[in-house]
Amino acid sequence: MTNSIPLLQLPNDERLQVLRCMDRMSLLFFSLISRNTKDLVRSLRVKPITHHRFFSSNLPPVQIGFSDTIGLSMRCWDITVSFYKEQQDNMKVLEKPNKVWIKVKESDGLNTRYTEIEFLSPMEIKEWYEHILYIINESRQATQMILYQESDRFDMEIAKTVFGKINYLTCFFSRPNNHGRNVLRIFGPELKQLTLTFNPYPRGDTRLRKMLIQNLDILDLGGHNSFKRLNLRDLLICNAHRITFSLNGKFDKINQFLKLWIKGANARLQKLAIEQRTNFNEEEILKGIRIIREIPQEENIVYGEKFDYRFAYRTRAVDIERYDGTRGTTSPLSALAEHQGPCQITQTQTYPSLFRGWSYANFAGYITFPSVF
Amino acid sequence: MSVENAPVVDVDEAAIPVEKKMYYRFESNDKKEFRVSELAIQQSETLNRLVEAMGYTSEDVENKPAIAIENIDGKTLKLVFQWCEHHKGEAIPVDDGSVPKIVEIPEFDAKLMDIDNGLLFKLIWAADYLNIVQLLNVSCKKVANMAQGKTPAQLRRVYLLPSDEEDEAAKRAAQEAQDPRAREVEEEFEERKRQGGNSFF
Repeated sequence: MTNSIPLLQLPNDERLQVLRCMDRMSLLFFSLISRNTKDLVRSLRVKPITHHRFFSSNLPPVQIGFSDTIGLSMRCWDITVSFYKEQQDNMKVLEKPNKVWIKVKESDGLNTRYTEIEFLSPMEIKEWYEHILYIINESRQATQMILYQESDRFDMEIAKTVFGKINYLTCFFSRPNNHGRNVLRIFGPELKQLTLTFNPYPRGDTRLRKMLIQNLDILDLGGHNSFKRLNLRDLLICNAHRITFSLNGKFDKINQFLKLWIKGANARLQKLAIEQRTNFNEEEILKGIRIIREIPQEENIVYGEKFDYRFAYRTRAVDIERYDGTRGTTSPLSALAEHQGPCQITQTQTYPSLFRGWSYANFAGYITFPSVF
Repeated sequence: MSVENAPVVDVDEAAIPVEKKMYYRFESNDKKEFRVSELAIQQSETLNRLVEAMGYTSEDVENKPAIAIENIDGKTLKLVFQWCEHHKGEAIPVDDGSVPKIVEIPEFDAKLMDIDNGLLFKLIWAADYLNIVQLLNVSCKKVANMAQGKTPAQLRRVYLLPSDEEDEAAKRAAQEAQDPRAREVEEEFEERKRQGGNSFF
């Protein structure tokens, strides 16, 4: 019995049918064989896996991660391609990796299993990156770079030359601060989306302000109340469309901010979420502000076309209006634990602190809130 | 081969409605003859249209020559009709275009396709030619499963995939075979370039 079959001699439709029946790891391996096989895989237009609708529905199709345990990884589809899991000379400067580890998620839910294969890397890091972008039909703009703890083991200047312009940067590491500042210097000017868990700048450093002024789409500062030293002046100079502040301390000038917004401040702002360690005082937040409408508890609050489940845990929601008629919804959200009891909310049980002391405000024109207003 | 000696595919009589109980005769390119139920034929879009267009009666089926299928040999056609008889009456799946395509190979199909890869290759061709959607699905899935757990180097051997260099060489050979003058022109062009000429023409 022959062990081989001349795949490329099948009619074109059947050849593609065979490929469509392959699992994603086999497809990735198949694409590595030649230019022809690479083009065949690309022609399938494989879509990314649909992720969890609450927490990761907007995951970019490609993620590059630098971390302490994996080294360097690239994620696409449900596959993680990893390099430098074993120390090698000059890995700091992203020299050609000796080995590559490819890990794929085989199943979902309780039966989640992973399969991992390692083999000698046939390509440089840059070639791997370009290869992945090519077969999934994506441009560099679709990439998110995530830097974890000990990502400073890698030279970020070299990373910039390898991966080029990065639109979406996420920094989860807390130290060293000079690494954080270095990363923002290298990738910052071209970013569209920035998530920064810790503030790498010392008090009074003007570079933080420069970063806030950028015309970002999304600016997410802090995670689980980790960002230090953000105040009203910082918020007022932010030019991002969507802003999240998760503060280590307390943001006590929301009322003042809302009044300034009504007068025309932060014209680009579409969505703002402020998270702090203590609950907000609703009366204080809305003191002296003209309320256009009280939103009933049973009414869904929709941002764009998506229902935001977090509003289900609001204590109150009201519409306010700025001088030019643009309307916004502001809504303080209570801690889940206090509101519903953690045992009843299994979906978010592991994230109780996420909801503690939220004030959630949407600011936008009528166009972005068609189904609410 | 006479009709009496034709390798008749096993038929589950009870599963066939009375009004559909008509058997067509087909002949492979190596003159092997098969009797196939009308219901089983419905799995093949090509054959179904063919018999509809012919409008045979039961007498026609017996008296007229078997319908020739020129492109498929008897060994392959036997597998095809065995598959069709087993799956007769089943709905024909609609392709939703998903990747990876979810295809389960039933036990019967797995046993049927426990064959030499050369024959499997012919089976896919036959399923394509006769437009039998689900047979194509399972046979392609069987070929796809050969990739599981293989490294790129192993895949190259399993699917007999040429390298870039081999692809280039084959392309050059095909071009030369198509137009022998092309090579001469190319050589002339290279020669002129070496001599420092600015223009070829």
